Amino acid sequence: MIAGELMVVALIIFATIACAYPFGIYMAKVFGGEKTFMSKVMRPVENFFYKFAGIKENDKQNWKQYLKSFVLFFGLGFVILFAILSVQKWLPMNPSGFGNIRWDTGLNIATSFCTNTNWQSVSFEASLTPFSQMIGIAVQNFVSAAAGLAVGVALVRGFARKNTDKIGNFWVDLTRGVLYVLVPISLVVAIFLVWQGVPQTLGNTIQATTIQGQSQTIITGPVASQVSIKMLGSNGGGYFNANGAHPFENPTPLSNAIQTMAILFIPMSLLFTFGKMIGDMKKAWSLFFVCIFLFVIGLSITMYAEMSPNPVLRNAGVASGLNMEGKEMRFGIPSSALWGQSTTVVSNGSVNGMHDSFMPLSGLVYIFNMITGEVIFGGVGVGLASLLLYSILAMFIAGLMIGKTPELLRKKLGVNEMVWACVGLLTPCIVVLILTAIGFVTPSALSSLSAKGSHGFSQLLYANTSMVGNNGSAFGGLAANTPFFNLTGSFAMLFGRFATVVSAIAVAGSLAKKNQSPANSTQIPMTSPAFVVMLLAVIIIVGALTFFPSLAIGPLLEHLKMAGM
Amino acid sequence: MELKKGFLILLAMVVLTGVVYPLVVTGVGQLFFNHQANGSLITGDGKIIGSELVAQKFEAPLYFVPRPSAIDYNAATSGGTNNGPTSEALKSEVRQNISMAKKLFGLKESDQVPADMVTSSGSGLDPEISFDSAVIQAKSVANARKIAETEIIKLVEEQTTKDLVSPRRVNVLLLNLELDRLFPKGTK
Amino acid sequence: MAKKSLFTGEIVKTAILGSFVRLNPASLWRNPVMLIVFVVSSIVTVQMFYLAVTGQSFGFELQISIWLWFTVLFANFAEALAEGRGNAQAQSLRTNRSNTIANKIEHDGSIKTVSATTLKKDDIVIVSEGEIIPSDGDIVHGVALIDESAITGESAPVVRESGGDRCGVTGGTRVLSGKLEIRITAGQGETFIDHMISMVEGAKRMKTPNEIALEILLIALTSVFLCVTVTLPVFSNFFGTQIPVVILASLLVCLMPTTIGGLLPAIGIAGMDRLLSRNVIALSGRAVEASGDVDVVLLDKTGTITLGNRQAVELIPVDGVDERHLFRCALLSSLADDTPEGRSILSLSKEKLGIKGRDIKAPELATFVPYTAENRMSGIDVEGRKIRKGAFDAIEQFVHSLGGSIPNKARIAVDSIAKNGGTPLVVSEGPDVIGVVNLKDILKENIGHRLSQLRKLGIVSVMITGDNPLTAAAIAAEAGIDDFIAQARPETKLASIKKYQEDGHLVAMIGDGTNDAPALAQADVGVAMNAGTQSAREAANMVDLDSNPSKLLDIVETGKQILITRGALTTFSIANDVAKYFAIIPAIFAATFPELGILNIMHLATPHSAILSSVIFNAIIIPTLIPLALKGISYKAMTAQKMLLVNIFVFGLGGLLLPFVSIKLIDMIVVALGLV
Repeated sequence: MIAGELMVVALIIFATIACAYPFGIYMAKVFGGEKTFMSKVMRPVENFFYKFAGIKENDKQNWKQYLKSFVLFFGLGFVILFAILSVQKWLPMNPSGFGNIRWDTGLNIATSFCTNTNWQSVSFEASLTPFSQMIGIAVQNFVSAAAGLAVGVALVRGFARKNTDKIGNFWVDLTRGVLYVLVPISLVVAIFLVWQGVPQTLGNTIQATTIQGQSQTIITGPVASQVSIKMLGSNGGGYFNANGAHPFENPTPLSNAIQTMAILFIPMSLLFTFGKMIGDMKKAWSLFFVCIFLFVIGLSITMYAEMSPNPVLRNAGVASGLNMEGKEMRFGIPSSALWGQSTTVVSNGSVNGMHDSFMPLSGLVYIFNMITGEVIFGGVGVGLASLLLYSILAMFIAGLMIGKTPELLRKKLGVNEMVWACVGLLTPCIVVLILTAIGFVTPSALSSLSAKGSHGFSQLLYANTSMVGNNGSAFGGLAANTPFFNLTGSFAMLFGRFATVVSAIAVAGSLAKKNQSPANSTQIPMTSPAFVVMLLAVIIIVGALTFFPSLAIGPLLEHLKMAGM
Repeated sequence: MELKKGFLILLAMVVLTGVVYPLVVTGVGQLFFNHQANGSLITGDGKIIGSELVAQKFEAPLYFVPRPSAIDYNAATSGGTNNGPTSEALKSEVRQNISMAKKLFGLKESDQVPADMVTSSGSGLDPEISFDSAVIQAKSVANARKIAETEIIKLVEEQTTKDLVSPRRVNVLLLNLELDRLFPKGTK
Repeated sequence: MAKKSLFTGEIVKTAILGSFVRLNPASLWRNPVMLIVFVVSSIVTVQMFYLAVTGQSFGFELQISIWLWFTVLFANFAEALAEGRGNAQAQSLRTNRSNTIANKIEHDGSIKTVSATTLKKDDIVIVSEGEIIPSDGDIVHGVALIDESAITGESAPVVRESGGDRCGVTGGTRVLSGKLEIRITAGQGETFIDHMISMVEGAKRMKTPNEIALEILLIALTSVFLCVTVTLPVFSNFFGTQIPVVILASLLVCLMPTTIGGLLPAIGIAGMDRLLSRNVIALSGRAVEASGDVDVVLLDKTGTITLGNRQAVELIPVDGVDERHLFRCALLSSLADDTPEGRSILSLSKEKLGIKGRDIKAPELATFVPYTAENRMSGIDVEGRKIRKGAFDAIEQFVHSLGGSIPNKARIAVDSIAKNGGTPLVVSEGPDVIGVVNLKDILKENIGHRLSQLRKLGIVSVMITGDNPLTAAAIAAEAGIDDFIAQARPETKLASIKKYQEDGHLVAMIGDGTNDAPALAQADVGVAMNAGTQSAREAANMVDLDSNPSKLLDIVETGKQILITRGALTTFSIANDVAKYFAIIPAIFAATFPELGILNIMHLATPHSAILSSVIFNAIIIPTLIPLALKGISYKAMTAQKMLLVNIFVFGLGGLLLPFVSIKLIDMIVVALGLV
């Protein structure tokens, strides 16, 4: 069976690549305003949106205007979501009679969903009404993802354009992202998931009487519609607390495969969107190679770790010693490891097993994936943006080493780009470290940890990397619904989101203004193996140098101790 | 001006993605996949006895039991133990589950237990157990229902998934329903 | 200038002194990485004294603090050494000037003797034979032979004269013969040499954009490592482990990019210094680095690709005319022609006739007809013969007016000369055309080779000439020029630079004339010939003291070397951190978590020896790399990809592995010496 399961893992990866390529090209057309097969259906809706909101499609914005619109839209979404959560008790669709959400929790949830993080400090099925989930949460799942898409696209435009200060129109990009990209595939995936067994009702709580006569409360609701977008939009926030491990969110091996693909799908496609937009697919493949390389390495490590026996279980007399704690039977070990790897390289944050119970080396890989800024495919839009910021860093050093003013995609890299690349990539690392340190000197934070020693350390480290990285997955043993974590977490998520977004848009503006260098042979092309090596090295080294001590005394030490058991 | 644009576009998004989209999915789902869309419920004697996707509590030895649950199979919530891989909590949990399993299923002290049977699932609602876990329960179920163990094993094999690309496993609720249907005398 | 070794004891001594002077935080402020090392060293030192005073053991703290201080001092030393070398170069240029006396013409016309250092811009001075020119300026009157060896090291004197493109003089050079009136163009502290000195003085140096960008990266990395170090004791406290300050300080300094941080100023200064030793004065560091990016260079044909003047290479008689007669006529017509072309016809005729210079005298009663813009020919009327030479159409008109015509053979000769890149001059005697002179552009020696070297660097050469396209094409082909712009007028240069820049090219321009000034200013890299006009020199951002256009190669190479050295040392510095982590982290946690001993892959003896060895390595790598920083990493023309791979291999992989070996060795020595 295990051979078959491994084959499925490989198949999922290849199938995602096969779908991502054409879809990436489709997205390039969408954001370029070209006609696509969806135009017939969506163009009228799009026009209606513009007319309704008073948006002029051809009004292009410079980077400051673009950023302003982004921030404004974020603020509006935040206020509205926070308001809904604060008064949900009195709003319609409250079959279970849930109360209002406490302010600090509400603040955290609103920040979390508006920043595309989907960190959940409370169990949603037990505290959020279907109204809050549909009108509040699900909407942000769409629009925060579309806003991220817009940022990624804007940065690519910065590279593709020259001598202009215009990088597109945020409202138009946002609208197109929702209408042409997110809604159509979410619809398809959602219906597929219903077929597989994911419930889709308007909110029913079913009372069942079990065979042995006990009563069981079964919760359904608009699950499929929300699950599909949370997978596609790198959101990750589930309808249920157990997220993708819950049999209603993810009922079969097939639904699991589709959802794993959905995690990687748009981020991977965006690489090809990038290639199409700059007019060179080879460059997209080169970035793709960097991503898939790091992905496969991480996957191999987590797969190896999970498929090795856990001495704790083995010594207790468990047949295989395999670590099934926190995993679901229908997914098995390889697919659980694949999901864990996928959800942390992309800032998705959904889980189909409990990461807290995963093997220490998996925890190490997952934390590493998140601290590198989620650039291995990365979050929707922002992942591509971060990857390009890394490319700026890599090309800067590489450019110097060939004796030229560094140039990326025929754009000279100057002080501006360097400042923003550092802000976008390195300041989040600083925030993770500082917040983690603050946690360790705060008694109330320490009392939230469910473990001592290395694993307890990893819990707090994982929480902060996840929030700053806008991932949203967690070592669930951490009791996160405390004012301390709600508030520091809100800060972390805001910082992580805006560090990337502001940097990406600022760099886009700075690059768009520049002229393009002539395409001659004396620069390092993005397609060169030398560049690929450089980019890989920079990503690994930034992550490793910043978190070597933390990873050493956290997951690595736990692993070493375990190995000695 | 921008604020108004932002507000109106958000409003349009709320209608599209918060209302129209879920309603369309609900409509299509209810129409074409009614059983699944409503939670894959199973009824018996006109009453809802559960969902085939959600584990429910069973007591050995009359029934096969599902995997350990951190939430005691309370489907109003979900979640795992979140015990760390090297934690004392995991150690004691597993030891306890093993001794419990050995007692319930009448196993020898030297017998090894499959991993899934003694570890809590991620959701706490995992409806399935591995084929091996079903097999080790077969003897005690057979004894309790006073039928041959081979009959039970045959039933387990029938109920086991046949594909080669996912773990070999059995849905506990469906297995127990079959058990009751085929060997009703066991029921109290 | 004599190319003497600049690693003299004097400079080293000054540099050592300078390393201590620079410990002043106010001057360290310019180098944030080193400022932090300074602060950290101070903290460790204070702690060490505290331990000493309270009677606790402090040997380890003492050793660490010594090496931390050395880290700062070594970095200071690198900068001081680079600066000292540059200063020595520049000072040797300047000494000539400081004692110079100037004869200044006052407003009332009287001449007053003043010190050269008091001269201001637009003062007029008189410099006579044997005197030293007091400051940079333009000749307003006079011609002189000037010895520029003090600056260029060239012993052959050069002619400088008022008007035209050879009117610039540099302070410190000596007039060998002649008398000049010079308008001073640079006041005290503004001469080229003053500029040069400020380029090599760390404190005054403007950082280039590339340097600033790199520094931002280094500061960002430093901040990250600062956070890593500051949070680490908090983390370890969770495990009940306390980390002593001295160990944290060591970790921080080892992780920070001190190698590149310490050598960064030296690299820039040394680059300027290397340029200066090649007799190029750079007026902006930015331009030097931009020269590494140049991909198009505009070259004036005259003086750059060809020797300044066309020369007669051939005299072709028409049918029925005796060769010697043509030579004699050509000679006569050129006797009074002082243009270089005229002189070359004269010397060619003399050579052909086998006569020597002194035997020539103008016949009596001869009247010279000088060249004017109207008649466009020159010649001589002697013994009733009207001998003329001039452009084809001018002579054609002239012989027509006398009733003659142009013979066919002359037409053919004229066409073929033009086609081959020469300039035909027709010689006539009365109404008869007797021959054609082939004036040819003479390519500078080696120009083809140099252009092909430029091409290897990825630089396209474009020739600008007033010639017609046919001639231009012929010369371009002969010289191996990639492209040319023919029939160019002065403003064409500016326009074509702008056009190249719009297409994203970085353009270098080499020029000397006044009409080059706008183009020099527009070009990303403008190199003016020292012999050129003042306006050209002011518009340019580099001045070549040797007035040798192929100097661009040196400039490009130096620009590239500066960048490569920075990039390579940055890579090296960051790659080093891996080994240091493997040395220090297991050392910190050795007692609490023996499991982490697996990270001690170097098998360093004790935690203290591991930390001390890392700190020592971190310190001594700076002086070890000083020669590399000062000389620059050699630049060879190869494809960008190959060069990057080579440098990644050498400095990336090398930087990864070297510290593993070195720290292990130092550890063995430290243990053998019983230091810990």
